[in-house]
Amino acid sequence: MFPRRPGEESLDEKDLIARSRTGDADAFASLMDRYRDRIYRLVWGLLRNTEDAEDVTQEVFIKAFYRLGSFEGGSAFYTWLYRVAVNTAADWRKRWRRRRALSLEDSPTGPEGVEDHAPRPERLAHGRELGVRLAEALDRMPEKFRRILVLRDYEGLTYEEIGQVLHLPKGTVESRLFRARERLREVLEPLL
Amino acid sequence: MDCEEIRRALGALADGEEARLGRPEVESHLSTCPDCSRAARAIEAERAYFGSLPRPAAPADLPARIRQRLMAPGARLVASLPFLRVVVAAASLLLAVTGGALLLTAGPAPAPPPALTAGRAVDRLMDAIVREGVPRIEVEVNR
Ligand SMILES: [Zn+2]
Repeated sequence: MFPRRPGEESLDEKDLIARSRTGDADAFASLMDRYRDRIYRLVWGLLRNTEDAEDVTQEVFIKAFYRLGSFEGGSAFYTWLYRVAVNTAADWRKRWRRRRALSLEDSPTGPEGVEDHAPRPERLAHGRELGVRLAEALDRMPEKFRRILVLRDYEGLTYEEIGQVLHLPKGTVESRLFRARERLREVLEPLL
Repeated sequence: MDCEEIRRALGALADGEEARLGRPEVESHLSTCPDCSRAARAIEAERAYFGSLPRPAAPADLPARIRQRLMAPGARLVASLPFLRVVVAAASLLLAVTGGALLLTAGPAPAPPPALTAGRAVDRLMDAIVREGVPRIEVEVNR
């Protein structure tokens, strides 16, 4: 799935990265062209909302532009960018929840009973209860479980690639996926 | 046979990864264990769900919108001065060491707590710029 191994970006890409680090917006635009669809899709998979995916993807690339200085080339650029995207989507969820909690504090009913709920996932035309339950369960689960499921089953990354993105040993990827799926199983079991 | 071991293997096999148990062992267990069979169906359902989700491409004007934000006055300056990171990092580190307080006011973003490391402070500033636009930067030293 990943195009290259760490440090094996094409010369052309290395050059684009180097120029972007000096603040060259044209060079960065070329990098964006290469990765925008993949990053947008990943963010969409993590949030499952089109409007939010657009905002967060913008944030990912702007952050990447400012942070290119801390990209050391020890990992593939693609891996690094994926990591920025996963973390930015997680921050977005946290901010969304904080804002929601604040606005509910002001409301007459107060913040009680607020579930750790999906920000506002789009109602997809699944129709099937299983899909609806899965979507809800995914949105309620801890971030570390959600991201690993999305990287594996939406993005189709191998355990090794997931380990590179999340800085985790392969064994940890495997056991975290196991635990994430055990959670889903509890939700799905009555329906199966 | 330990059901947990079977379930771990189920996931790895479904993912096309190396599993600690072979497929024949797992399958023969499934034929006798309804719990693990349900677990196998749950994994299938989860994979089918992700498989059914759309895979949208980025909106065509997204790069242009990002570029516009990058070209905003000030934003470009910050990005094109890599040493600003170093200066801010050094300043906040120095102030932290000498007991001063570095106050970075970036709209509604909170000032970093004193325990924040210099690197984190710079990242916070960068994130605030991303979210709120280029901030007013006030450096206040309390003696
Ligand atoms: Zn069993």
